Amino acid sequence: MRLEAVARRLELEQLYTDYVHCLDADEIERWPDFFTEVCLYRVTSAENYEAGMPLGLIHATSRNMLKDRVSALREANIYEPQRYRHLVSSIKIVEERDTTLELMANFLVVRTMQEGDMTLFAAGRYLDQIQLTDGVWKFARKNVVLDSRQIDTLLAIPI
Amino acid sequence: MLQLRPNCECCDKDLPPTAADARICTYECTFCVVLPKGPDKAELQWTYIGFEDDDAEMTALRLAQANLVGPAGYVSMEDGAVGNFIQRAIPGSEDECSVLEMGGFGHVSEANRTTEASVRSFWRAYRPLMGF
Repeated sequence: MRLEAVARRLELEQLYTDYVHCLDADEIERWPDFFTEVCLYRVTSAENYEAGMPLGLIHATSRNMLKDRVSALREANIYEPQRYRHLVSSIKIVEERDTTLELMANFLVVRTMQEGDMTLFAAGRYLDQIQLTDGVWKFARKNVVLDSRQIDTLLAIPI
Repeated sequence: MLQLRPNCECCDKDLPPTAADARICTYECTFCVVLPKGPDKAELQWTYIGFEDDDAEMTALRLAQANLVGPAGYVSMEDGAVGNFIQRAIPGSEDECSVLEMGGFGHVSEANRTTEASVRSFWRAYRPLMGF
């Protein structure tokens, strides 16, 4: 592997590491900053995605819509305290065009509730497009494609 | 808040609360059904509606509005949590019984759906239609 390719892989590893630590450390105020100003963040099921249906359980088309969701989670919605632990692996570069990359990565999310119940909450793929914006990689599109069509109780914290 | 409208916003048909020919309108964007899966489990199944002849603007509107409902919905994410709390309380209270009635016991037309009075009215009209 060429040195440039190794460096690129480390950059991607760092991006996903920062992203999941932001969510898992309950620092969701920083979460919208991982996205470009105009973006797509969508959580959907594999069934829905493969059928070509555009619906998202969460569907945001701008960074401001992501900020709205953070405000709702902090100030409006009421839900049992919970913690996520993301495991991301197998980051694959699907396509490379100058300052835009199409990526695919696997994720697992373990959710721990206030009383200690732990479940394997979500498994699936990130199908992402990232763009180099002022020297920083940002998500221009993040499709969170869940393997299951079922969500246990609710989906509050983003994936 | 959901509000009853005086007419269908799609076809403009007049729909006063007493209209006998009012039907569940396909202009509604979403509906959900509860599927009992046994004494300790139930599924809430959401269906989101879009139409082939929706233009791009209408599709974008429906996708944006879908953020309100479902397991991550701004107005409905707590519904799952409430059902979950009740489910967890049930195993310790096998001989107990409780009924919650939102908005009393009556059936009247209302300008909003924040109580269940209009839902009860629907079922009262539905029963004789189905011969029960």
